Amino acid sequence: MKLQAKFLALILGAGLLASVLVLVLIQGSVHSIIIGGIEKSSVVLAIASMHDLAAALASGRETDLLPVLQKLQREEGALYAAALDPDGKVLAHTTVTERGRVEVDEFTRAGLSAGEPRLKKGIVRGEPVLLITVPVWPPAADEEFLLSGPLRTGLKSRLGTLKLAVPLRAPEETETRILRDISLIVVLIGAIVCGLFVLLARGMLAPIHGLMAGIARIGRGQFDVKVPVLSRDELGELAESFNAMSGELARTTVSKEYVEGILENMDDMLVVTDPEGRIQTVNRAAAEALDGSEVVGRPLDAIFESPPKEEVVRDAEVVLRVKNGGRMPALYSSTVFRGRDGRLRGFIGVAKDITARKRSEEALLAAKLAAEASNRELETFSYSVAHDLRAPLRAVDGFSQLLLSEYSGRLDEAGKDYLTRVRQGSKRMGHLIDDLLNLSRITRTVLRPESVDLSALAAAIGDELRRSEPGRQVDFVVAPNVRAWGDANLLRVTLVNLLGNAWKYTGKHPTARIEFGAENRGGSTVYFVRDDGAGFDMSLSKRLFEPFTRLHAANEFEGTGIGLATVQRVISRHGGRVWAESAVERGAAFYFTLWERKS
Amino acid sequence: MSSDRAAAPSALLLIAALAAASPAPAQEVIAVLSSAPGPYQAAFDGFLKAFGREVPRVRLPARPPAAGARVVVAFGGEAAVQPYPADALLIACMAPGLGARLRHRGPFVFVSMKPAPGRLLSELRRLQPGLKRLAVLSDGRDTAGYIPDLRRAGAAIGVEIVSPRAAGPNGVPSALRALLAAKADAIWLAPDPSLATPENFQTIKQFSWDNRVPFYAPTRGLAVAGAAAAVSVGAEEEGRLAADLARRALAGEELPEVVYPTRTSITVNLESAKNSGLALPQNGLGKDVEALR
Repeated sequence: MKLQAKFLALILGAGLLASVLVLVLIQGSVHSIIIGGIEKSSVVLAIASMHDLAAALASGRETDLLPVLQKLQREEGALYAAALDPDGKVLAHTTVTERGRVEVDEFTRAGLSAGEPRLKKGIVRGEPVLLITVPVWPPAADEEFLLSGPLRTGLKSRLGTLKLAVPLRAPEETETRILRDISLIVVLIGAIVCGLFVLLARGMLAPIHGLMAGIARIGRGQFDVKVPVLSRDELGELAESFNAMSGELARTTVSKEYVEGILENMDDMLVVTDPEGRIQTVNRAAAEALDGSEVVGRPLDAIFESPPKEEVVRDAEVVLRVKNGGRMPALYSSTVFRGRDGRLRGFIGVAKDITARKRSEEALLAAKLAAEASNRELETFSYSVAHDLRAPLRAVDGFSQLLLSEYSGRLDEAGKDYLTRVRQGSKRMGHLIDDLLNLSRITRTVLRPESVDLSALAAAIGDELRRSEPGRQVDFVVAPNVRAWGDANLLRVTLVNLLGNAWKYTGKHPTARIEFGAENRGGSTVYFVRDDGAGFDMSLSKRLFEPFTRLHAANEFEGTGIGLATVQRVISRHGGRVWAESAVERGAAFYFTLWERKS
Repeated sequence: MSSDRAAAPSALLLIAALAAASPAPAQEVIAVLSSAPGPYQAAFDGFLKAFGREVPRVRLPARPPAAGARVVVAFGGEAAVQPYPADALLIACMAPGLGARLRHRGPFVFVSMKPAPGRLLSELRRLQPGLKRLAVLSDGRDTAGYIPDLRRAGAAIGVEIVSPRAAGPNGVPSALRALLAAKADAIWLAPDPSLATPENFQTIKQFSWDNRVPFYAPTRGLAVAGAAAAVSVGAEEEGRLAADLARRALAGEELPEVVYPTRTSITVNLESAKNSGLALPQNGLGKDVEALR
């Protein structure tokens, strides 16, 4: 039963009970006022006539009694008035035919011996009446009043009894009419009270209904609920408390609506199963891809072409069976879903559509394969060319040397100079061919990674460089214990090139400092070779690692322009990158990393 | 104790009293009762019980004895004013207001209906502990000797007596107005039939209720009629005192002219007490007090 109905039932019950009680009390009061008033006034009037009546009774003559009785009848509006002697015999009666009769009814006989007036309701001639008997005494002496007050204790001097019949029809009708009117008023007031109560109850219950709606919304996971504060009473305080609670909930708790909003709007597909692996919930993305209305309730494995072997996987590449018989490559991760009590609730799977990525990867792979094939062809061609160039170059150099040694007498100085230049050019070309072959070899060599002591390598290379030019004042600083994971031969080629360049470009300075070491930058190890030599213009640094690029004139510093290209190729094969920082005549620093990306 | 078991000692006491009483001629003491049906019979019963033996009894209007009796005990005012032999001692009881009139006849003893002054004031103090000033309403003739005694008794307990004299039955309204000026705490109506008429009683009661001054009456009947309370001498007590005086008279003792009873009863009319502003003690009045609701 609703609260309002309960209140209404209560108020109706209480109102009905109160109305009955009020009517009973009013009936008693009205009766007391009307009938009691008649009783009192009748007795008072009778007593007021006692003096005259006593005198008439003392004479015992009807002619003396009748005027007194008739006066009483008029004043009382009585049906009759009678004077009885002490034995109950009618001495006089306003209905004169009654004279001489002896009253034998119980009420009158009791009145003959009573010291006080007596009253009783009765019926006379078919009409309701109030029957009254009043004892009549001789006039009291003063001493008697003093000694006895209004009471009379003796009977010997009693003169007789007055009997009256006062009609009650009119007063009773008045009483009935008053009660009827009061009943109507009570009913009317009750109806008004009930109506007001209903209005009041609605007003009072409105905040409660608001609270109920708010509680229902919180039950649905919508925590940020505000209910209107409609009053300043306890209900208003309750509404304020509720708002404070919902605000606190919204502030401190992730609402279901919020979570659902995230899940529904995420691009990845979300699938939640029960502990047996049957799909219970899917988000919008999953529903759109998998035809959500059909997959809910089905086993999770049904959405895969080949389900993962483990229930918990991370970034597993799978193929999903999507709508209309389609296939969708996806990256799939799943985890166990447990309740707060630790009980297994099911599994949560998230799948990311990688169709576009797979297409890109396939295109990249194709391009890579094509490039690798092309590179292999080019490298093969380069190697062949370089290898094939060696023989005629050796012939040019060899025959030039023969001409200088066998025919030097026939050649003038100019001819010897030409031949010497031919030989120098042949040697440079030989170096160039060696470098090209090395570069080609580096590209083709299979990597054999191992732990490499770069500090030892650098120190050894430094010693070789010092031995090559013992007269130079070079401070060669190698940081100890610098190790790396890589191909030792290729890393040695890298350090030979970088340290060799440092040695070369500090050659113009009377003293130099060359430094090898490693440092940590953002969690990655960065190796460096630093010198204080000629340096270079950083605006040209973009071309620094391109083959055959020279930033200095050949007559200033020798070189083929292949060294840094070789370094870049080695570092690239080790999944790293290489870069340089420099300023003209302020030295240069070359940095490289290893294994930053998958090779 | 049951009534049967109580009756046996009473009978024994009566027999013992009759045996102990000195033999006297039957004519020595006669009782005369007023004709009205009032409480005279009860007083006579009390007399007989205390006197211990039967005495001749006459109820007016039968003719009272002309001679031969040494003591006439009159019950009621009507009986008290009858002519009796001049040498007979008249003991009048239940005859309020007649004390002064009896001085013009032969030897008499008047058993007053006024309680002994100390008794009256202590009983009024029970009803009204804060009583400081008591107005005694009388016509002055019958209370001439009583008022001084009352003043003395009042002075002993801190109650001042004011006595506005009512000049006859018609003087009550003037007397009431006078005692209002005296700022009395309560009114005590002396047992004087000339003042205690139904009309005067109604006047005093109305005055009491209007001015919130409690009105104390001398008889239980007037408490029933609407006085706030009554400190009354019972009819049996009057008879008992008359019997004691008759016995002493026969024994030749010299008797006082007036005897004030010391045994009284209290009757409270609760409705009238409330209407007249009488705040009854919180701890009650005791089991001997009759409360009329």
